[in-house]
Amino acid sequence: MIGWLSAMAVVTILAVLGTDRLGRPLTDEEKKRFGALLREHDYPGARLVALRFALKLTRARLRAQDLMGRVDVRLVRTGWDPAEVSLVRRLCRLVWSEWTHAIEETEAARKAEEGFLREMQVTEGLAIPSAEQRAAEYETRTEARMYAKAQLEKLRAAFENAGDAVNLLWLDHSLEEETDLQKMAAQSGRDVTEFYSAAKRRKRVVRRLLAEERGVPYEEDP
Amino acid sequence: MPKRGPEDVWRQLVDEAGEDEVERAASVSVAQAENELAQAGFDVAAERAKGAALIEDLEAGRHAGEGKAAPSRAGDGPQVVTLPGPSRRFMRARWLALPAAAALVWAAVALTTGVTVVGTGQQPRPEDVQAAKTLHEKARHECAESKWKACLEDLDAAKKLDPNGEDEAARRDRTAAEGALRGGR
Repeated sequence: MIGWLSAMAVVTILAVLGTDRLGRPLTDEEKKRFGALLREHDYPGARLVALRFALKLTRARLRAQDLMGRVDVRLVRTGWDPAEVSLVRRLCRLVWSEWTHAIEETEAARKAEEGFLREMQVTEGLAIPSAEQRAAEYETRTEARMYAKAQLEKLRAAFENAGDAVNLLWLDHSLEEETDLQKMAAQSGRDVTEFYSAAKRRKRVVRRLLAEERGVPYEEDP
Repeated sequence: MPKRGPEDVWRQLVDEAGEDEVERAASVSVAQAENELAQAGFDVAAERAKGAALIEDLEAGRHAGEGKAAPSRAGDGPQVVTLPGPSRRFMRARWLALPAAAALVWAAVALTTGVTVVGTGQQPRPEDVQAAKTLHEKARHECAESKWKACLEDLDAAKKLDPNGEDEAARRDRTAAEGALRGGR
């Protein structure tokens, strides 16, 4: 009996998985649980904070509202774990993710999902991606690679124009699988603090690139 | 060593660039967001209603987004098959079982976590819960108008009525009011 009760308790405090992760629509019970969770954490209020962020990024009311509409859908699709992140942060991350079209899921989450789907295929007869889908995915990945290459070239040009030698080094090392700043510093004969302070400049240039690409005037926060 | 793909590096850069922005954006209080949105010409009540509508849709067992389990970007997910939902009979039985299940879950949480009720040891009366909610709403408006003292007093009064009823928005209002009063604003 206690074991059953413990299981029930665990079920009630678990995160709500989204439809993407589950690979199916939410059941009525899951929807109710998700609704209750959002109510408890003042979703309407948190959504206003996220809407303000959307407005800051898009600089236009209609575009901000459109962005939030996509965030609403994305929240249901990707779910939310209150133990991992607060609702307001989750929504703001989704705003950023939708605005930049970044795919937020980690590799680990994707692998877990693949495992779940394989299991569903066996137990529930769930369809797995077809050969056509896999071909389309390959095409999408190729397009994503081309886009990223173009963005990195723009970034390189910006660093060159600014004479930012440290960030040029960071870019080269990053493309060579090196992510350790200490090693980058040692290999380039520079002080590691130069690499730390370069991060701020790099973020600023990326934000400017993202804004310009979307036709939004770029303004840095004070 | 295989080279890191440009898409990996670009994604890292975009995530990195967003970290500070997200943190800054998420640290804003609901009251401040309401003010700024109103100044930008938004109908704040209507925007709030959109959030409430999503909750109501979910609680009523419907939501447009859930049918769109297919990803927005082509090809980053599997085909989706709708599994059969529970029967009407089961739904009715489940509604009857819900209060019992809720009591059992509460017992289970207490058993597994050792949680005890702080305060009088009794659940607040429904009318007290409702009054506390009204005070939270009032406090929110007071915080929006920078009436920090009144805001904090109402939050304290609400807490006396419903000790566990302070939701995330009320906690944010409390933090904002306490911070403002400490800072002498």
